[in-house]
Amino acid sequence: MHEIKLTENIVAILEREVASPEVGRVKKVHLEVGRLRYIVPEIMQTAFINIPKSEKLEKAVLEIKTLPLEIKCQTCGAVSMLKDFRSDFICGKCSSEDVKIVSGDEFNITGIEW
Amino acid sequence: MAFKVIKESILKYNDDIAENIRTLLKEKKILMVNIISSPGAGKTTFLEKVGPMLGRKGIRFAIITGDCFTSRDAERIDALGLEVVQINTGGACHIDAALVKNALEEINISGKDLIIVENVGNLVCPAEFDIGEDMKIAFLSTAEGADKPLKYPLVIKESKLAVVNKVDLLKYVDFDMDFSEKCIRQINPGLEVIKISCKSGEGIERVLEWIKNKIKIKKENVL
Ligand SMILES: Nc1nc2c(ncn2[C@@H]2O[C@H](COP(=O)(O)OP(=O)(O)O)[C@@H](O)[C@H]2O)c(=O)[nH]1
Ligand SMILES: [Mg+2]
Ligand SMILES: [Zn+2]
Repeated sequence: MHEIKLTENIVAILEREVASPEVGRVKKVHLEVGRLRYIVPEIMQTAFINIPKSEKLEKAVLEIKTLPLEIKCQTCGAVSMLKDFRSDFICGKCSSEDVKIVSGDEFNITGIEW
Repeated sequence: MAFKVIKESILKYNDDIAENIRTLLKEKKILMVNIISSPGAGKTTFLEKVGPMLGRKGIRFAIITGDCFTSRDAERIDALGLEVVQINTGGACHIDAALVKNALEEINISGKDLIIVENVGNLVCPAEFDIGEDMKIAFLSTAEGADKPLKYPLVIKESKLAVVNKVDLLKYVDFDMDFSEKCIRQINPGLEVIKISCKSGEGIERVLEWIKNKIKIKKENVL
């Protein structure tokens, strides 16, 4: 449900970026979103379509790259990827429970294409 | 085709306002805590309990309660004669920094030691939005199942304290406390866990001491 509010933020950031004259009509907006952000790409894409935007952004679509939830083992140093939040937070290599989250909370606009 | 690289956080607008709030509260040396839980975990009950206790300890505070549409929680707190401001989010499932900024303008914050924010009942979205608080408190309860930390890791990761409420119900519900604590530690190894019951009063004093200590640290921190 927080997608709508966040998409409004995205539009606000984009409006500022496209204000510069060298930017043309935007086709694609690239985002990187970590798994921990609980974003449903489809909801965000629909919200993006429905939020009023200036002409340069009218036809743009969101290309959302979901980044995995990764943990680093504090015992053996191995980095393992977790498929979902419900998987056990244990090292994939040595099964140690002493792990730290190293990726999954990214939340950025990374670029625009026109 | 042309491409422009941008590296901008999606949360920037919210985070900018949150930073303003943080600066203001730092200047005034006021601690702000953001209590996040699922609906019904007992946030308002906790505030009803802890509010008068804070008052007796001489701590000057105000409460901000967030709700989608109603002012039921604020009325419960107001009935105790405590200072409370209601935020209605108009259906949004979380409080954001702009809403808190407005609420703070309704409070006479000079001379306050503490602002407690009761976020909208939801373990997902509130964890996402920085509201300028010093710390988030993940407020869980035994009635909602021991796996909630695993299902909602972001709020656990972002919190500085986890409270597990309703321990009086442990004899009735199948809540595996060891499992819950294990999950919490894996997601956020240093996170302190305090078990309480708003019904029996057990553990509340510990949370109070925790908050008092954080107020003290905030006051001692020179700018
Ligand atoms: N048994 C028991 N019930 C509690 C406890 N704390 C709160 N409750 C009950 O849980 C319900 C929801 O509490 P409320 O404070 O409204 O939850 P909130 O939605 O998180 O603000 C109410 O019926 C409370 O009386 C507790 O420690 N033990
Ligand atoms: Mg409540
Ligand atoms: Zn390992």
